[in-house]
Amino acid sequence: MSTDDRQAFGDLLQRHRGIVFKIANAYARDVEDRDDLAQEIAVQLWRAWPSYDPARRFSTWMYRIALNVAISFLRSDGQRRRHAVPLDEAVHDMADDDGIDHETIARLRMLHRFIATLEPLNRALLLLYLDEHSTREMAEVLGISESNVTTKISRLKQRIRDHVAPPGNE
Amino acid sequence: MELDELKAAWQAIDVQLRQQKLINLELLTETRMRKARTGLYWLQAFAIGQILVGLVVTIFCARYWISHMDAPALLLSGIVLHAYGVALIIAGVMEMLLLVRTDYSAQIVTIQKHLALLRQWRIRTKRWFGLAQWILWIPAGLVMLEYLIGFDLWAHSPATVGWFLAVGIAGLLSTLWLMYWSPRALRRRVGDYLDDNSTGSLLKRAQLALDEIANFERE
Repeated sequence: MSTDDRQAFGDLLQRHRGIVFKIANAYARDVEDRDDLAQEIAVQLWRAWPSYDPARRFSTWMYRIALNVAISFLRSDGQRRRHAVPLDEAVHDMADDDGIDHETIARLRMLHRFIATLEPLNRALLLLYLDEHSTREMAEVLGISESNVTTKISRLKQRIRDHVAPPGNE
Repeated sequence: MELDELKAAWQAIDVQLRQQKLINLELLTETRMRKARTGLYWLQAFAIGQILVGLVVTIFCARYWISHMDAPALLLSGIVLHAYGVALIIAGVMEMLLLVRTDYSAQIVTIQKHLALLRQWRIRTKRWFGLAQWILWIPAGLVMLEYLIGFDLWAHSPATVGWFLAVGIAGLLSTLWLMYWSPRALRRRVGDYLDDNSTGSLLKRAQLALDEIANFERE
């Protein structure tokens, strides 16, 4: 890889590092895991970089790799609990910052708790949905039909309603 | 609360990330890359080594059993080891596929299914290779004794070979009992000392992953 290539990759990675951060948070169990996963995603992105087609959107390409690495990361470690509660530290970090109001922080915490209840593939779907990818893009990244994406999104919507509904209201 | 209401909160993370460095991706230095590359090279070297050993065993054993058609015990031993060599080659090639052909930029369902199948295959192979050792040392011993010092143990003392076989079968059955039929508490304790493979939990997990993918593909 030439210096220019490396520079271009570094710039794109920095510009889209939010994707790595959000995926690592959704799939990691604790801070150590999160950092390991983020690094593993970055390494795999770097390895796949020579085959990246600039005609395709970088963020979509990045999502595919990062989600694949995260799901594999979750499944490959025998000691890792599959549905462990993901860390809340990121949200705590934000609470120290004045940029985000308390209501948003409460919603983010709730969202993280909900994500923790999802299976790895549904987590991937939810992350893509939250980042406002089109149905077509989600179908393309996941490898399922558009109608299947629509069905699954409506099921997720129902699940989150049930998740936040107070006991007895279900 | 609706999912769409949570989208706005989610977008706040992006805004926040522009100001914070919660994950330091600048750790992605040349050292880190070199380490990742070296780790992969070692795994590939191990798989290539396994293929080469398999090739040597296959070629040696094929020639051996062809030249011992008149001695049934040595012929059978040669054929068993020949099959073992072929299995080593197949396992090595599959390992290489797992290491090299894993294209993380492929569609998620496709690559996850590929990985889950390979993982399942790898666990099963590891288990059967382990179990086979209880028996394999006998033909290996017979062939080596005859090849190195010209001593045909079966011809001189079939009872000894019978005893070896009895020990091998007893060991194999005990291991199978521990893996499948022993009380669950004992199995868990053994699993703690060995690894998850012996209790089959990794295999179950690989199957669960495959079921989950199949379920996800269905509408």
